[in-house]
Amino acid sequence: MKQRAIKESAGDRTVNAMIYFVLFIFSISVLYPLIFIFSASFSSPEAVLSGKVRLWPVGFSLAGYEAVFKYKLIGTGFVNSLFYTGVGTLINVVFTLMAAYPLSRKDFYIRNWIMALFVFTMLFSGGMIPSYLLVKNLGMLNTVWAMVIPGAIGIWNVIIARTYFRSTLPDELLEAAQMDGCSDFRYIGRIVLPLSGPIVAVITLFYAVAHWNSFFNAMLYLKDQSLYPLQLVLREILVQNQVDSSMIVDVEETMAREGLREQLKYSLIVISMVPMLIVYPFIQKHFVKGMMIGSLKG
Amino acid sequence: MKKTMMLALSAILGLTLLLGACSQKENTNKGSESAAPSAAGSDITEAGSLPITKEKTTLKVLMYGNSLVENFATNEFTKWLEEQTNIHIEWEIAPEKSASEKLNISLAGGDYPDVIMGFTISPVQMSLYGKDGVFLPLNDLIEKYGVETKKMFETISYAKEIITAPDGNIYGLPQINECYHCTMPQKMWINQEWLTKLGLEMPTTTEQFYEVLKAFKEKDPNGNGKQDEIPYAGFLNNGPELFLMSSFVEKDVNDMIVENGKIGVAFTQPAWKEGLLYLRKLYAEGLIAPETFTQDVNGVKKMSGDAERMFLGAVSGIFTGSVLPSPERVTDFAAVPPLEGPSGLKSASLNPFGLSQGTYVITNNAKNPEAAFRLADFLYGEEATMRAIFGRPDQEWTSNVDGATSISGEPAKWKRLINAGLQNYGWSQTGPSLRSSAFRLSEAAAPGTQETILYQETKQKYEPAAIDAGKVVPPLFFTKDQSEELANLSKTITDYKKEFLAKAVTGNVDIEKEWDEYLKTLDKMNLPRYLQIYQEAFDAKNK
Amino acid sequence: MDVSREKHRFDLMPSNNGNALLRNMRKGWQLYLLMLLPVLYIVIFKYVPMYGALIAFKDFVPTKGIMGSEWVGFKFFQRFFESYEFWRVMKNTIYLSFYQLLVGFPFPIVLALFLNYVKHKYFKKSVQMITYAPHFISVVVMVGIIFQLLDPRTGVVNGLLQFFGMEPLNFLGEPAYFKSIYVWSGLWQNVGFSCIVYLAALSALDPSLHEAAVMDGASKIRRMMHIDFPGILPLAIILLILDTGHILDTGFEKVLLMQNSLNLSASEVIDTFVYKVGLASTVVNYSYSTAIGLFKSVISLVLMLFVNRLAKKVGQEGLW
Repeated sequence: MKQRAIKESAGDRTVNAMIYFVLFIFSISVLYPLIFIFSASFSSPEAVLSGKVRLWPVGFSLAGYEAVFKYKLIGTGFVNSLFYTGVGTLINVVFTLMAAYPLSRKDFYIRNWIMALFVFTMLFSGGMIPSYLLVKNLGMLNTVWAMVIPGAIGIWNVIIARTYFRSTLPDELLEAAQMDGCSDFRYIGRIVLPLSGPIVAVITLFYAVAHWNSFFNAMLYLKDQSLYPLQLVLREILVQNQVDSSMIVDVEETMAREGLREQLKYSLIVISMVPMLIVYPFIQKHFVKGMMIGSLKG
Repeated sequence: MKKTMMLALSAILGLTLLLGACSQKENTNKGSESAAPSAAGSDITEAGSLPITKEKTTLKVLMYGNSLVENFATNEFTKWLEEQTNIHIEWEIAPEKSASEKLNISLAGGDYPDVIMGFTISPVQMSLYGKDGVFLPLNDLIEKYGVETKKMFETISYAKEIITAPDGNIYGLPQINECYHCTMPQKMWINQEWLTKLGLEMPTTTEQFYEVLKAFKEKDPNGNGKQDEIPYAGFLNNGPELFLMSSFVEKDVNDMIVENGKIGVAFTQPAWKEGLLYLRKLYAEGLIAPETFTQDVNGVKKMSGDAERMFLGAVSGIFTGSVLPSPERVTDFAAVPPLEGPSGLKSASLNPFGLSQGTYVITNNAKNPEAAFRLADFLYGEEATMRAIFGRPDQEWTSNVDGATSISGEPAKWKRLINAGLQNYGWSQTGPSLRSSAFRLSEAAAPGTQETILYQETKQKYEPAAIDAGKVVPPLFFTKDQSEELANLSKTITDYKKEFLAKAVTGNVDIEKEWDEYLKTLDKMNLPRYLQIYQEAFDAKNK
Repeated sequence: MDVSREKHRFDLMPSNNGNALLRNMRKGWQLYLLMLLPVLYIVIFKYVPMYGALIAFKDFVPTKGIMGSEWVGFKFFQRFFESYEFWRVMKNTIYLSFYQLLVGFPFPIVLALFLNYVKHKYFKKSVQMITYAPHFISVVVMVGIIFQLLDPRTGVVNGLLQFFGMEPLNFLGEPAYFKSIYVWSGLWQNVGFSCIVYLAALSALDPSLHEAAVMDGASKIRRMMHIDFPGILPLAIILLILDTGHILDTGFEKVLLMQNSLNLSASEVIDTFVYKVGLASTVVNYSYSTAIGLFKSVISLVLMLFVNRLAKKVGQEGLW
């Protein structure tokens, strides 16, 4: 960026201050629960239950994490999730770009029909049972493919990618390229993709998060516990069972389950959050202001 | 041009839809193999003998998941079972929280396994799928091979009748778990320490209970000089009304009642209004914690006390372990006996049936239904039940009790060696098994521990006041249509009943003024039809 | 420079000549090729299973399959419309969804605009990271945190109220507060994540525009209003249209966890209603839930088309 020769006006400085202030307050309000969760995961279970944990760990203990690692399914779940997320996201991004770019082109004759076709599926779906039958008939049940193919395209992401292409790729650029005899494929490879940094980063993030958080597909299509992703395992432990007075209650078992859940709750949350937090900085750098578009004018 | 495009697109869409619908291989009844012996029948050994089949047989099982069981396939009990019976199980585990979806998909997909185990398949589902031939009727198998099953029918008198569908067939086997204290689950617990400290007697009437709560509030029983005691607190689905209403009307655990063969509800009776007024009085004087209607079990646990002192005077629930700050506090609390209400009524709600239905079902995909049945029958045996639920003899439990006393105060027959938790030695409580009341009560337990307290309080205080078992609405076999209609009605009515109660107690509605409106609203919600459906099913059962 | 070829390339108006499509396919065959795989995917995985919507019109029994189940027409739709709670549930759902839409729409934009102007790199990155994290807190823990904060005895909010001399309030027991608690906690949890899209869009804006504006002495506010905001407006409008498409989907887990007998009059929405009726039933009634889902989809479609048309009327690009 060029050195700014003009100083900021007083008005601008107040705006600046206000911006920093608001962001700061908001971040603090968000930071508190995050710190709480981290602290709770390192506190003794009794302290957590009795509400003693306010900000910092009370009765430092690794009991939560020990319990997590004892539960073997959590380990396999974690690894599985990493795999599904990695492979799935790759497939997602490729398919999405393949769909979004043609849709962004005004000279793509059937773009509106395709859009209608796509958007319709966002609102209407056949439901769980026909999808299950389809996956079964394709022979993908209980395989890795069932986790990465059925969600391959998120129409929402296609649409924002399309919007991005439309806003950032000027028609003049295309015209100029075509005049020079550039084919569509070359245009995509030479110009479109290099300029797509931000949007590829965004949809990669969105798909990765969706994969990481998903459990429904796994519940539907997988039979082997060894293929379960992390979130499915988490749900089984964390979602509270409704105990009401008309149920037969085995005191021992109920207490054991509650104990398990309380012990694992916060450490599990931390473990499931950490990969997404680690990934973010790598994506973040693509949101840096000032991309190469400016160079076109030169 | 646009029009042709539209037409073309719609045609393509229509075609794909059609193709999709036709090509999907859905479940077509895979030939209704009845309970007649199949070709593999010759492989089965005599009833009651082990192993079950001469050659190793594989059984495919869909099992209800359990977060306390590490891995059914490598489980110790599974291995022992296979050694004993020669049956190898191929597992498919349904995640617990989404189990019913998994079950329905399995049924819809046609690729359901030989056996479905651990689900509590409702009577209506059993008769529905039984009629279609998907679930096999077990009557003949029980006759021919059901050694332990028949014994179970003798010990548990109500079992056979409850699991038999209106068409006379038995489609699923139950799990018997006669938890004695669970038959009278709606209890009130009070801080006995505080009663002693303030020199008060255990209350026996509703009026006395009121006085005691007031004393808790005003007289500082926790001795810190502040009036910070919480006389009573409850939590979601465990409110004060579950116990206290029994002093005003007779009801079962669902607020329903059977009088002279007629099914009725407790919450429309004038006495229910009296109960509401009583609860309102308690609330208005600050004796019921306002959070009772909004908090979950963790909330009440937090407010009950901490390591130094207690804040809680009374709490409702089936047992106190989950709501007290630590296990040691459990002995501080005693059960309040059913109180005598203003009209002189003293009762306790009852849930006499200690069984879960449909925990073992054999489908028409089973190539060897005899073996599948004999496996279930074997699980009812005492040793199998012990190993499945409690673990290995002399490792997780033992019959060497050293003269200890049992929960019921008699000489004990067995005792646990470790506490329940995440494990791989047994199936926790999934699957058919038989724990009769007598068996459960013969477990060794030191006096003053949770189980013995529960037993004694129930026996001494609640049993004498329990309503007649004939007044309890039994588990009923509804038809599919009845069940669907009922679902809508029951949700609306139950929610409204709870809503009105909460608002009445907290003072958001004026009970006297709104009572008639309340009854009218229930009418509009079609309470009469709700009762009618129940009555039809009840009559069909007692024909 | 072949003018006539150029003209045909950018054939925006379909001529009445059926060959326009074929011509477009020949010229732009590479685009069509790219499109092939995604379209195939959509047809196979989304359209082929769509016959499942028929469940709404049948008395579905899993073992009979969809085609084998009995046809009942609008029976389940009727049952829903005639059920006692219908109006209350509809009202709560619509109110909650619109509230959520109204609140959830502007704040991510504002946050993105603010972040865009932060010079200090570490501050900017940290704020982004921190605000993005809550999105991953599971709903169970989130509701637990809400309960804790709003606790009448020990909660921070009531502590503040008492500090200012006011009575503590049992927020979760008041129907009037339910929707606000739900919506604002949702915003708090998701705004950092939702603003990412806008950040990406802002980062793709031509920086020379800003440089020129600064040269001209424009203040930050003016730059925001005249450069940034118009720059991301197309995206914002598209997202608004898409959000209307999901307007009736409140999702049931969070609502269910926050519901209780005292706030039920405000907290019962379509999704929780369907869930609880399903639970109360001892036979899972897919027909009923599918019918209600279909009903929701139709309404959402109508709303979405309406908003799309509105957007185009004010000169913005719609979905098509």
